Amino acid sequence: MSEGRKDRIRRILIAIDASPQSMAALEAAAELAAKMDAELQALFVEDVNLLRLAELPIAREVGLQSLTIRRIDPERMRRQIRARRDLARQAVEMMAEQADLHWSFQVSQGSVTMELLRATQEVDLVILGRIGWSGKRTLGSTAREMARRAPRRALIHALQGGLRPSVLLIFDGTEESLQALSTACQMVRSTDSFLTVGVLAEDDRQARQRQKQAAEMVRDYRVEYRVRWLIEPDLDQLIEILEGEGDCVLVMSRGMSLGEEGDVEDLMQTVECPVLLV
Amino acid sequence: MPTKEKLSIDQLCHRCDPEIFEFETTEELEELTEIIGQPRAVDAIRFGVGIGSEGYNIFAHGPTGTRKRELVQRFFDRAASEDTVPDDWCYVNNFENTHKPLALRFPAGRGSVFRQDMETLVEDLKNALTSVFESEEYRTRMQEVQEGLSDRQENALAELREKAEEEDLSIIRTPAGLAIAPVREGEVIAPEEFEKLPEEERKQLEEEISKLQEELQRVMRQVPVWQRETREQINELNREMARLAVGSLIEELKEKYSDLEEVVAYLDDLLEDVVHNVREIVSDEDQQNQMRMLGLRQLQSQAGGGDSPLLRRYRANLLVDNSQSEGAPVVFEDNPSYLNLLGRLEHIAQMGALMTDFNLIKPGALHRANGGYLLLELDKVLLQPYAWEGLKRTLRSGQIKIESPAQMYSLISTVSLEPEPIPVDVKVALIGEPLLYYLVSELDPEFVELFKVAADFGGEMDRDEESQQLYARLIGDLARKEGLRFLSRGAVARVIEQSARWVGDGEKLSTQTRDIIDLLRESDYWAGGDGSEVIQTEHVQKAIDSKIYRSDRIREQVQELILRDTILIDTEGGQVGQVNGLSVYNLADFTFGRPNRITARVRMGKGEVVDIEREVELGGPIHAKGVLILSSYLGARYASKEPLSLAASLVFEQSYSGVEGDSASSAELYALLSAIADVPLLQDLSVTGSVNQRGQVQAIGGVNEKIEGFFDICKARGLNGKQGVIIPVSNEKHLMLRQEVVDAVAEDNFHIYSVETIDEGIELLTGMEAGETDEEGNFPPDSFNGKVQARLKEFAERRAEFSSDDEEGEDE
Repeated sequence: MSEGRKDRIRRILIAIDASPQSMAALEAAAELAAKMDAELQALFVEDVNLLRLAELPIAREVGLQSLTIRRIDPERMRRQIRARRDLARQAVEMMAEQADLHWSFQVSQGSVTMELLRATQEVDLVILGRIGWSGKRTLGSTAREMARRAPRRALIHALQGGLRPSVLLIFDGTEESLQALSTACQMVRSTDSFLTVGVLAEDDRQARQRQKQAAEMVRDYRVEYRVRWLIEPDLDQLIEILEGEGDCVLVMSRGMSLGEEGDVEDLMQTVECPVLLV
Repeated sequence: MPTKEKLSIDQLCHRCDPEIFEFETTEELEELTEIIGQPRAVDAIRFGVGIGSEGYNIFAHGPTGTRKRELVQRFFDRAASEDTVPDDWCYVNNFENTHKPLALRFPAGRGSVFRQDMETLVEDLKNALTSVFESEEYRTRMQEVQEGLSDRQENALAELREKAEEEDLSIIRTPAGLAIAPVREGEVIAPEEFEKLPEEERKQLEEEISKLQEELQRVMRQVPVWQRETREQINELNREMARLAVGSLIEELKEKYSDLEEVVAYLDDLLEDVVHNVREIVSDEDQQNQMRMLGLRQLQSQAGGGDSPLLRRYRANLLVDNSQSEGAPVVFEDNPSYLNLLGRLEHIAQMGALMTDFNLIKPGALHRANGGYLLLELDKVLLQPYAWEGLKRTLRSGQIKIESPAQMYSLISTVSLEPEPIPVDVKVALIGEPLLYYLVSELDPEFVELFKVAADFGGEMDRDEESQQLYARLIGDLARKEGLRFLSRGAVARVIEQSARWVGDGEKLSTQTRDIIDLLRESDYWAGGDGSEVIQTEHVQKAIDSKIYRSDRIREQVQELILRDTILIDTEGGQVGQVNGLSVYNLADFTFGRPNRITARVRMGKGEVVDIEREVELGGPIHAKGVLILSSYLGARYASKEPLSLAASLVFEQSYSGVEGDSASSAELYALLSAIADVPLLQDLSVTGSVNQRGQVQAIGGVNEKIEGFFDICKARGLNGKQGVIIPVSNEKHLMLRQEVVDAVAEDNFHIYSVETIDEGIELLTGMEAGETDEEGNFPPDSFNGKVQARLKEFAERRAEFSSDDEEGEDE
């Protein structure tokens, strides 16, 4: 199918800031790039907010371990940022070499979200970690922004582990979700994982219809899959189903409506698995 | 010719008449149930086994080969079979103090059940804990606890974040911490803009920020506290789950062992320990799997119990297992080293270090014999370093304490244990030589305290018809036990005769069964050579002869020296002051006799009899005593009225290696008297016997060998019909002469005379009458004694002349 071919993922962007979350995302990105034979582009953004903060005469920070309040000076901040950048670069280099990838490492300065969005224009898939220091469930501000605004496919990766052994796609019959299905199929085929298609519908009749629609698409990719009907689920039910699925990557279209009380963002806040938005 | 009657052939060898036996071969004989020839030892052992008081252990001593061990063992076995089966003992971990393992006592047979139960428990423990810790319930509750922590952290931070946002501030992450920054439209305010703010606003902002910072700091300070609380909650959860998983297993066991208080207490401790260490046990399993991959686990498996160190501690080390026993144990420890007696602590090398635990405690003979009987050989115990001390300490204290001697003396330094001592109740029998018994009881005061019962085994027993019947059954038993052919009654009689010969007494039998067994084995060999199904008399004879032949090279050499006249011995004619004495040589297990020429020379002197052997220190004290006795006899008998005025010298001719014993003192006296009287002695005769001050001839040892020694020489030179040996009367009962000698006597070619006094001997040796004193103390002048008296008188008179000459000379 020509649409699928055009859709092929050739370049993967990994947003990296040397935090543990981004390192986990890097692992997944490198694995995915190797399996899909794609190029890995790493982007390190020197956060302009941090630099500005350091310039402020009133800038102070509370040390994460020492818990002391200390002054931030611009020179030290720059040095710390440079150190993180080098760390990130080493990690990317090592991963890429191991997986024998085409890769690049870019550094830019500015607002993290803006820079990421800019870079996203040129790639087929962007992968980033859930950022947030306090708990694994909180979606970092950058991740939230990306989920909202990224023009391309974005995979928001959880803290732990590389790729997951199975893929759960939520299908609601829209054009976007067809595209999401195509992406999911590509992933499943190249990573040799297992696909579950969750058909979202108002009633059985609609579900049957949508299942048929999905089946046509999947047939082209010749992947094994199974189907699950999700008839008018509310957010909690959906979360429960997801947890029952276990270790999987959740794939869905960005604009998908999940009933009255929730949207994609709410779902992402709650679930622990990596989420790929199309 | 001598007036003295010579001995009849019946007296020469105390034969055992085969006709007294009613059997044909020993096959018909019943097994001997009683112990023969050792009534004293048997009574002592029976007493020692029966008496229960402390310190009444047995020491069986006697010559080797008297079946001491067999006899003691037989009594022990009999007593043990009626005793109750003693308890089992297990060593288990001491959870409070790992290096002091606990000893648990179980009724016989339940120890092994307990060990099995503990094996099963360890297996079940792993499964139960794994399944509980993998269960849905555990995971959910664990998540609940962990999420509680996340929630607390998030809530605290979210609250702060809201507060900040109200003031147009934002909490942002810096590479090393968290900072609070003023924001405008989601971006941190640029420094230039900040500068532009009015002074007051900047100050206010700064205050707000520092207030929030402090709050942030406070919240962050709480995090470790919350984490700690969470950890404690997790531990509590783990403990609760572990108790749930294991509690029922332990309860079941406690029920089973409810009659054993200590076991129940141990099981309670075990449960607490499992609960306390549950996380380690579960995670340890994973580590063990990794170790297994590295090949490290094999070491542990070899040392028993291939589990992780944490699970090993829940096993039970069954030290004493009486599950298969009937009655009390009887243990003979062949190698009574310290460790073999008291048990030992083994070590295994782990990553270069020597490790041990209670599973590596190994029992000693005392553990195995606890509640029963232990047999040891004293010489072996004394030869093993610390073994004797260890044994005494155990008997004294009534408990077995396992200590490594190397550790006691700080020879090695490694991880060690102090296992709880086990109470011991054991009857010990030591077996040894009499010499050792006397030495140890003399030198070690504790010995008599601990071994109060001495069982004294004799080397010989009385010989009469009844005892010969029993002895025949003993011979039959020994042959049967050794798997030898049966003996004909003739052969049995021959063995009995040989037994009497061994003890050198026609009226005794040897109880040293080792010699009998050897003789039977050798006879069996010769019977085999003949293709005979039964051991016959000639096979026994052949065994005796060939044994002598194998050992008698030196005897042959000595005889050859005599026959070739290198050593001068006359066996014919008469000589003044010369007599054939007889001596005995002991070579390991072979004894033989030979004649010695003894000569005496006399001259006038001051009444001294010089023993040349003694002057050159070739004669021992007993020999010197004999010579002094005869010089006293001489003076008292023949020169009571005037001074004994002779100088005599006595010598064992061609003796270069020392003389000991007084068995030649009668021969010396004959030579001396002959020299004084100037009357020749018959060289056809040989003489043995000691003499006392009254001229009585007394018994000596080795009479059979001595007679045979002289006979052999005479026979080689050709018997002249006059040759013979004079022995003391008191040695008659010891005669067990070789058949050849008996035959020669029967044919009147050789003679054995027994004498009671020197006078009788003199008559035999000189053919003269000895003579009795009259009222005035004078002997008849033509009697032998008269000649002696006359010569001594002559010496005395001449000496008196000399001394008066001297006096005159001095006067001049």
